[in-house]
Amino acid sequence: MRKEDLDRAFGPTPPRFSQAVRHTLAGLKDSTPRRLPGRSIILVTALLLLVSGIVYAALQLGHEWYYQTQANLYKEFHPENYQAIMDNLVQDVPQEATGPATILTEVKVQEYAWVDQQGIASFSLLGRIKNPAAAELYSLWEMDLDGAQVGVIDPEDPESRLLHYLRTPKGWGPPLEVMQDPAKQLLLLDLDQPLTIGDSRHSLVPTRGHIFTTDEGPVMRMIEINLKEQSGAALAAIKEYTDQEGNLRLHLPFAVLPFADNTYGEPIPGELVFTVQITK
Amino acid sequence: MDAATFTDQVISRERSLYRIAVSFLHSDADAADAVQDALLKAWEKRYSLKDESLFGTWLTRILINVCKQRLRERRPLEALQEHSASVYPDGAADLDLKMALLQLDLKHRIPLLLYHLEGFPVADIAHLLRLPKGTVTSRLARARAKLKDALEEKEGRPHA
Repeated sequence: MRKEDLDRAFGPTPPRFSQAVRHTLAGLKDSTPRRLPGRSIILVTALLLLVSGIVYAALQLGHEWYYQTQANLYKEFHPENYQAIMDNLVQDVPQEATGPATILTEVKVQEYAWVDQQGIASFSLLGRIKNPAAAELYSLWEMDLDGAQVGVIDPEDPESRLLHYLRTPKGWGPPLEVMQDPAKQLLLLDLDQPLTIGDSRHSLVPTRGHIFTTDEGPVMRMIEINLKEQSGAALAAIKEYTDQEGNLRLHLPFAVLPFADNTYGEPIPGELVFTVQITK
Repeated sequence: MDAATFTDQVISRERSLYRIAVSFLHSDADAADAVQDALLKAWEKRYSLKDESLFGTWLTRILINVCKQRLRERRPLEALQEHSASVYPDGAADLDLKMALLQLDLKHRIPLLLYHLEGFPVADIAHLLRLPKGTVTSRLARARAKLKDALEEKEGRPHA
């Protein structure tokens, strides 16, 4: 098999691809990214409390925190999207979570922005453990990131293993070795389900997404949606299920998976239903 | 790593980035978006790269993660319908080989391209795809056999 033949199968690199790469590279600057660790935010918040006497309820793990600590170049490279999202953030979101999973976890929309004019919507969601004294919660994606857990030991493959591995702030390895307290129950949160529109079977397709376990504890999911790229069926469903006041109900199924003795338990289902205001 | 070095490293790998992204996503536009995302992520995380000689493998890993994330988020039916017609540009392409590559499923196509085209050793591909090395080896063998069969079928004769 000749490399030249394989390469020719792709045809030439499209000029617009090269332009996109060069445009991105031209925007890079040498300044050190200003990452503001969670601990610093807590410190700054505490100082503000002391100085101003303002009662500050709790650190808000939402869009601003995400763009400062996890995607700190977003503002620079997507200024129109960033500004549209931050100018239209809604924090008081009517919502209700139901199902057996809510006994163990609280899943909620922290903030959202829905900007029709800009054709963009963005959601920040958090999943928290309800009884941290009894259990630890991690994103389902933190388990077996390397794909080497194959359930059998292949003598020719030194990486094959029987045990599932988990990533936590403490490290990467068998859950009992990397949990903060192995005496607690391990719960995994599947927060990676589609957002469905009203009572339809259609969902909003994200253009960007990120699911991770924060160092602060909760599992976070960020979703960005290009409203201009949704299917005709999805757009029709948005229209059909938006009431006269501009309220649209969205559904997010989720599940909690207990994990013990190297085995996943049965998923415990839940559903978050929340309402967004789309006539801004 | 400063912006100039980063830029030089990326430009020297532009063709490779294109081939990998388009192999996953089957669309020039999606490939460009994915590579842009991967470059931004890589630039943000550049301080985590301890050994600059590993830049290529490191950037490829980031690009593969971005491509996989985009595939997960795509509606399967839409992906099939909207992108199958635009897979790989036609200009000066070897159409038989292109179609044969298309017939390979992703799990066979990607290791084959990383090995035969991008020149990654099996151990690196295992790291890049988070697969056991034995699995990469068997997928490579299977991919070669399937590609050969597909080419023979198109030509109506055994392929050299």
